[in-house]
Amino acid sequence: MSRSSRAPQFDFDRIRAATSRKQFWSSIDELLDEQGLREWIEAEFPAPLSVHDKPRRRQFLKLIGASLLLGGLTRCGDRPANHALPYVIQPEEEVPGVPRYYATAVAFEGYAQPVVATTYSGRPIKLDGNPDHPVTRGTSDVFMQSAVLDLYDPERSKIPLRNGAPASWAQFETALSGLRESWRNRKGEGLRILTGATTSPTLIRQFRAMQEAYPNMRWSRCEAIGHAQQDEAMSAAFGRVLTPHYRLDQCDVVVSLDHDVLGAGPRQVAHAQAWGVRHGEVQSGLGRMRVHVAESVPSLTGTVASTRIPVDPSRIEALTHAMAAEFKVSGFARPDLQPGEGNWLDRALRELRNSAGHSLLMIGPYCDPHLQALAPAINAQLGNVGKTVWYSEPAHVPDATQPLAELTREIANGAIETVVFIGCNPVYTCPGPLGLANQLARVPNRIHAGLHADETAALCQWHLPLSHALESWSDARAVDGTATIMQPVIAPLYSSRSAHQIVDMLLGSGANAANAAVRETWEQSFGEDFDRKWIRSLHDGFVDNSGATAIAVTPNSLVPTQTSSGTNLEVVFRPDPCIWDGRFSNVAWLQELPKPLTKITWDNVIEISPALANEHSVSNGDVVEVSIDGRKIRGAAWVIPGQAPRTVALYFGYGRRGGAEIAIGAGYDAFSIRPNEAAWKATGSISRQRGHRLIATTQAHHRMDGFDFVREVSAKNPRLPTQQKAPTFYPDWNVEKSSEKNSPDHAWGMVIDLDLCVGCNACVSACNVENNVLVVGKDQVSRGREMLWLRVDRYFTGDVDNPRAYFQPVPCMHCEKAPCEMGCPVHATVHSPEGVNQMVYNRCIGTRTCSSYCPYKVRRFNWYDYRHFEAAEEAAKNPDVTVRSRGVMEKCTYCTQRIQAAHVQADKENRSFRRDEVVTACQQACPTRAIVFGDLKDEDSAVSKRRRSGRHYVLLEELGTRPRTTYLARWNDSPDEEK
Amino acid sequence: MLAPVRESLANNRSLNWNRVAVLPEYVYFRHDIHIAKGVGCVECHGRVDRMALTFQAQPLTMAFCLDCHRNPAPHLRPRDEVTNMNWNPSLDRGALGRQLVREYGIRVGQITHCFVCHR
Repeated sequence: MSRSSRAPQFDFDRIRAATSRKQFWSSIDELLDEQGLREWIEAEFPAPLSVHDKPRRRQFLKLIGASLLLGGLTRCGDRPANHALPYVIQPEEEVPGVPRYYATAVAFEGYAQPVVATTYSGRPIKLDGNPDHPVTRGTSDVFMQSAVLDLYDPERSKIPLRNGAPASWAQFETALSGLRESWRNRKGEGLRILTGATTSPTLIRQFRAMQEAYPNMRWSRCEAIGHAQQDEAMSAAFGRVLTPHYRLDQCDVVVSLDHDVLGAGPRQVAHAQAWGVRHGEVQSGLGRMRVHVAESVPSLTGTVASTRIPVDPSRIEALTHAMAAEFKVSGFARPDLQPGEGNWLDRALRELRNSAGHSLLMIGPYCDPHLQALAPAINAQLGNVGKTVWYSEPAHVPDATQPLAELTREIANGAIETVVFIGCNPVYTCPGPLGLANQLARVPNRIHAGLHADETAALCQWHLPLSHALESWSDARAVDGTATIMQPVIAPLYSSRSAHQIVDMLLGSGANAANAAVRETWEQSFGEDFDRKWIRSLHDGFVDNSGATAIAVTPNSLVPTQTSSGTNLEVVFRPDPCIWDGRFSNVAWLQELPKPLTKITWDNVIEISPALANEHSVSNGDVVEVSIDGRKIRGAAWVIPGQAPRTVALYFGYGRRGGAEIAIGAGYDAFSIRPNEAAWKATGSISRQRGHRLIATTQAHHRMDGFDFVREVSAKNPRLPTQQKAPTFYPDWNVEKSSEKNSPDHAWGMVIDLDLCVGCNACVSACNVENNVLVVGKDQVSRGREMLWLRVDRYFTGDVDNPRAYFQPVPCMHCEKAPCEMGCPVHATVHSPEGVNQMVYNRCIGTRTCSSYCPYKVRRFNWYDYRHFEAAEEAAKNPDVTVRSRGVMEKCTYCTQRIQAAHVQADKENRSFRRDEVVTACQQACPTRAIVFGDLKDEDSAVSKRRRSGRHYVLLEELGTRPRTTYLARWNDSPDEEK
Repeated sequence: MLAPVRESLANNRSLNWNRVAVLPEYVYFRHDIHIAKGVGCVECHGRVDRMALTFQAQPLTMAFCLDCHRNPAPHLRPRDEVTNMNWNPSLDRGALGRQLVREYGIRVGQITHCFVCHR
């Protein structure tokens, strides 16, 4: 069976029959076509003879080959394998082959994501959260992990372009001097500058200076996702923009109305971290944390919630009004609720009140501002303010208006003479009805600075290459307000400048040193003791005590609005969980990362509920058209179990037209039918069209055969039953005995707590970066050939309209009795005395027997040489890990390079390992600490402690493979389990 | 003879050394741990001081590496003699080696699996 064939016809009766029969299921397709899925699983490597399509990265490079030559970036023919080129003057403390670590940050929507960058000979190859920083505490998210590839992206813009043709900075400076003259004369009238959201003290200071020089210029911040609606809500609640900070670690009860607090975004790491702290093992005196979620689109938060109901956005509104009415917020009355909604609300209310002071009500940032504005009043009544939520002055500079709407209006009025876009791509992210792309030509002078020559650059006379955050001096504040002075960890790869340098050029303050602007800011704030504080801040990766402080505020009374009726189809917009608003479109790792809930790669889909699929007889992949106010987009439909019945979800970031070569042609452009900049929902219609699209989803790939993959405990049954030993003719397997002659000091093992996993993919991303996992492209993914060493399986149980969902990360199990080792005819996979199942690439002859013997399906085969990367990408590779070539198997090694490095370190110091000294990449990245790795021979190691838990279980234990990777069962906190 | 070195510094250009001891790309060799455990330069590189033109003195095959990883004692010397080309042990080298294995904490039996050198 080929997965590219049309999906089976949607059939509700078959689905319902199947869900009542099966305990766990992975997808709608599986429910509809069990036979087909079985054939796919049994095929092991489906369609092995099909041809190979290379990803299209190269086409673009052919086109700009000439400019590459000019840039002096041609690659040598042969690698200088037989030559050694030492430094002439070796930098201080630099030892070739030994990594050095620098604290800095990358920015995401203007917020600093504090990192420690691992560099080899001046090349950053990996970013991890800064362990000392109060926000990340060493953990990370997918965007932070993949930022290295963003830096080495071979399609980044490399030299300035004038009308699309190569130019120089000197030529730009000449052009600019004329413009500056006219800005000065007209006091900046007609000058408009747009940047992304920013928290950078330096950028804010520079724009203040610019405002003084050109008083009538306007600077606005446009962010396609951002939190403009939340700012508006805060203004309504408090009379000015404030930032709410949630302390999930202090919450006993969280009620979320369409707020995916654990989902992707600048605050994901902070939130997931705090949630993990409170949600972890039952702490003394504290009961289980409860999370109640009402949401229109399934989210990570909904997946890990105690109770969850799918409700359309209009019903979220009704629930919020009912909630306000219960809390006697003046002017609000409880609307009619359906029984399910009423029950959910009553339970949520009861628990919020019972845990007053330790509870939290959150209303989603994509909900209407007048709804969000109710949360502060209710939390204040509950006495939660200062405990589970606190408010501070914003770190970002809020915009009072919708900047792009205002810009297009002004262009239409002929009021704009020069527009400068720095680090933003509004021609792509602008809502279709505003028609910025058509209007822009009327502005006489158009300048764009960005990492890529994108859609906006194509419509500007000047395009300037912007330096990546890892190449430039800057500063930014993390979500808690703590400032980081960002230092470059590599010299700019191309002829690029930082945003600060470009703003300095606009100001005409001359060519300064790269860090001049940043230094100036901090000289003012550090005062006398500058040198010490500057060096200390650079070293630590953040400025001490620069976090936001809580302010005491009382919410205003609110003017209630009418609830809208929900008879029509409701369309909601969401950022893509992997490429956000398209800013990461060209990061191949993020494109190939399966989206947490759908496991789709390289595409966006139109997500619909099972009920809607039934109504329109639409199956996964069928082309549908969504229409809002006469604007239409077409895309592949995808049926999402648990989506609200009348809700259609559209995802931003695809349908690119430029600046992202690998993404062009993929998916649809949801921005084109977004009604206005702040719109997160609209009413619209959907219709089935002819045709079917191939969507590369990994949800059916690498499926295990068996049962009880995920297990659960509940308050009633807090321990898993102990496994009965199956009768066997074989003598008992004893790990100590088996390796007696070598008597290893360590036995490596891993325990993954399913109760802490939120499915965020940080582990998968970290593994990709650490282990040089190669990208194979959409075509190969659709054939089941993705190379990810660590996959996160997603299962459902129960009713397709509101199933309970589970995430299960599956790396190599490192079985003590590994079936793969039995299968290999050439001993290419063998055991180490410390219990690691080793893969020896140079012995492997590619029979793939090991993979067919592996019951956990964790082995990956290089069907082709996937190494066709460019010179710049080569620099991103981890030098401690082999880059695998065609024809060999590969799989998780427990980050053996880290184990070996720790061994060498300990051996050099002639000591034994410190407790939990070795940390795998996935473990390091995980914001909730779901993954723990360590030495099973050490009774007190974190991994040994977890193994003694009553929730501990072994995947496919009945096979007797004795895996070293094991799991802790998930808690089921749903009230049904407690009766 | 040292002209290339002076030129390198004057022109700020790396000296282009020809590699003589070449290991395959899939072998991860670390000098630091070998030096820390008392493996002399001579063991792998030979008497470089007596070479008119440097050559690879040992086969540097997997068997060569494994011989020593399996039985390191005969190849060990005190740390401060690592760079000594002319080191001549006054003691019985076998006994000294066994003593150094203990003293330097060499995990004999655990340094022969694949991932020690391949990853």
